Amino acid sequence: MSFRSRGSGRALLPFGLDYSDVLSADNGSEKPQLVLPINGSLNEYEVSSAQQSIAFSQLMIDGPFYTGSYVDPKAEKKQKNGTASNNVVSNTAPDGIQRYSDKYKKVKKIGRSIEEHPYQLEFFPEELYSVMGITNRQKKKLLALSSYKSNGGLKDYSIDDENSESDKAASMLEKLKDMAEELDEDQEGKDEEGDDLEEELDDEFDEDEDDDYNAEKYFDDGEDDGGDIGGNDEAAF
Amino acid sequence: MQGGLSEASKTQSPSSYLYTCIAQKNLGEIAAIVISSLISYGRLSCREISHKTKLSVKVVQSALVSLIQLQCVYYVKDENSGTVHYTFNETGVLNFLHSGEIINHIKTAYGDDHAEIIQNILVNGHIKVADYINNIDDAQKKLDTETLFVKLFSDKWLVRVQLFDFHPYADIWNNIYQDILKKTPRSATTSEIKRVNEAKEKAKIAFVQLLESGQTSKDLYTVKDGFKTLNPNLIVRFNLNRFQKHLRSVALINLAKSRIGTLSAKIYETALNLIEQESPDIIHPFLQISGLINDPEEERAFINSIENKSVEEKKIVFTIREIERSLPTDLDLRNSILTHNFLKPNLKKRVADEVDSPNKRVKTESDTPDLLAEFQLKNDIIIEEEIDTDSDLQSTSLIQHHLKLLSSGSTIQFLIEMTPGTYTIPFTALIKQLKQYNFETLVKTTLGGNAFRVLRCLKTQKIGDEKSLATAVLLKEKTVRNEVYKLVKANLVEIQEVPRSADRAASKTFYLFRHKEIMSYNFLRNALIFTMSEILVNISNFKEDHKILLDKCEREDVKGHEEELLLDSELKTLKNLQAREISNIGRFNRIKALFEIYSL
Repeated sequence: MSFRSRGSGRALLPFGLDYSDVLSADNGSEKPQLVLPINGSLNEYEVSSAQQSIAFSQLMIDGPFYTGSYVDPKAEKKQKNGTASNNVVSNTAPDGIQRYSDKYKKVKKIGRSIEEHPYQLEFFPEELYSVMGITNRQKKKLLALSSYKSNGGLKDYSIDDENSESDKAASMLEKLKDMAEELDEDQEGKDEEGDDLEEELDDEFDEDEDDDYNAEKYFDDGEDDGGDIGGNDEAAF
Repeated sequence: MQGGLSEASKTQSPSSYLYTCIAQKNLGEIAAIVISSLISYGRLSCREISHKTKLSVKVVQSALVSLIQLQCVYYVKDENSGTVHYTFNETGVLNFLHSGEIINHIKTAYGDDHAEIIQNILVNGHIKVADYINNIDDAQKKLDTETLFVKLFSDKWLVRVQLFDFHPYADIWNNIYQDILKKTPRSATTSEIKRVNEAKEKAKIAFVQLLESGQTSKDLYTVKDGFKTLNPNLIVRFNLNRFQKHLRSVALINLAKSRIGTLSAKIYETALNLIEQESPDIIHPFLQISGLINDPEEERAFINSIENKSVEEKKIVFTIREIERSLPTDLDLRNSILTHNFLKPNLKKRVADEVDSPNKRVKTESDTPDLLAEFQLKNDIIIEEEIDTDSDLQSTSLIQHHLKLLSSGSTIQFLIEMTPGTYTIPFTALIKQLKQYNFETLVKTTLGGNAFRVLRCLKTQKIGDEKSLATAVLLKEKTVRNEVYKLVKANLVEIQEVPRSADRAASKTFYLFRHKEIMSYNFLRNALIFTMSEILVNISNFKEDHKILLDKCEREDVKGHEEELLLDSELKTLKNLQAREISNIGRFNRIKALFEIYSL
């Protein structure tokens, strides 16, 4: 407080303490209180152990039992566009911005199912089987139920029973006769058609309705020229 | 509660901080969140984990599958409700903690192929032998791999996985004990306490039988084309307990090296390697069940009984012959032990006597070469060929002298000679001395020699005030006060107030000081764990500072072509980052070595 002058009252020290002890106490210092021995350089065995330790940590991080980092559920929902799954650590940076270099980053898979690692199932409690890819659920088997049909579902055929066999034979004969007649008619028809076709073809070639290519048409041999005398003063060429 | 890894994972305990850091580094943030939640709440179901951590049930289930596979989580199913509850299992996380050293040690001791198998098993948690072998196409390589598996399994680096490995010991014990208690009828002649004790003893036997089940030769091995191979349907995992025994051996060897000498430590290392496999477990399963052995005396007696049983069964007993056979061939023990009689004349006769009768007293090798040279100059005697009558690099007598040094050469008894030529290692007593010695060295180097003297004095006095300390330590009272203050600040010394007046006025109170070992060791252990976690966080921080460059290196088009595609400055930064990471992990491992001592 400002109105108090410095050194106005000497603080009473607890019993046993001396002023020299108080003044020498270095409470605000950041220096270590104890002087510790200096660490010597590592020998070959120690370096080798340290290297193995670092390599082992990396193996665990790349291994099948790495559990990944904590992701805030709200941030996860925003990032999730249906692409990132729970089992895959996305190679996108934590800020959520996708970059070209992301394709070179390793995509880590979290957790392994029974197809990926040979778990000894007898050592695990059953409640964890679901995450290991083992489903214990049995599908409910449904009964094959059918609907009631009065006629038993059989097809209804209408058949005449009297003289059925002789009628059948007669009808078969008639059918065969008809077929034979038809065949004969077909054959005659085909022959006539064949002649007609030839005549038609000849007529086609003979009857030139279009006689543009008839050279004689253009040739006039002068037989009709005598009847025509005088009348025209122009010279005849 | 917001999602993500909470601050509580760091603050609730140093162990939680370390375990979540390791889980995050190796398995990802989701696994770390689940582990943190299980450490906080103890036992939770899947839905409860989902609710506490704000993760979806599917994500939690997926994480639990990974954690169970890697032995990071136990589970137990409630018979009545059918709910499955999960608890934290530190085995898996400790596997990750020691992974580098495990792979390196196997590579050094056995070879690259063995190390590859161990690495793959650590990465996958547990595997079926057939699945591993079927992944290999080459028939010869398949046979070789089967042989490697047999070697690792017989040396107990791999153990069989059974269903009870996934349940907490406390629950297994509880089920067995309740079953046996129900089957033990009440009777009028037997008291309830006696009945309960009987049931407990029977349950202990049943529990041990369960843990040892499935270990017969028939279960584990098959004979294929005349060769012994592992049963292909066997499921195996890495045996962390075996590696912890190895770490204990390394700590004991280093202690012997500092107290006795390098050569004696080498012989000690050979002895430890012979019996390491069968040595007592770091923590017996009974001691992991809280409430089973409560009394500290009972605990001590139980631990001693296990060690005595191992000695009786000759599991941790070795002979000089075995040492001789197993010593490395390039180890030269000549002139490593010199007796005090070498200064006297008639040396040849004396040396012959020494070789024949190894029971005479021996001196250590310190300073003797200089004395030898002086003696040579003075007396003009050629001593070397006379002392070196035995040209064998590793003669039985030399080995015996070293073993004698280890058993009675210093205040720490590294070996016990049971019968002449037969020795054993007293693990329980040695661990106590190991912790004590390392702790005192730490205090001496960090707090100073005076603080160390005061602490030693307090230990011998059990409890003392400033005056008695000052007279015992021979320092001024003010110095003693300063040193005690330093020790109190470092949580190594406790203060006991003794009021002299009824109103407990501070002016009429005097203070007693006391040092409790277990509290100090626990505090040190927690401090080391915290430091290890800070190192891991430091590594991830400096990697985060260079995230852009590291992401660039992770790109699939850049990987393998860094020298072509990156700038010189970027390559230099990468190299510095790598060196920095290796240096940090090296320091991490050094602190971990000290942490392991105080976890024994």
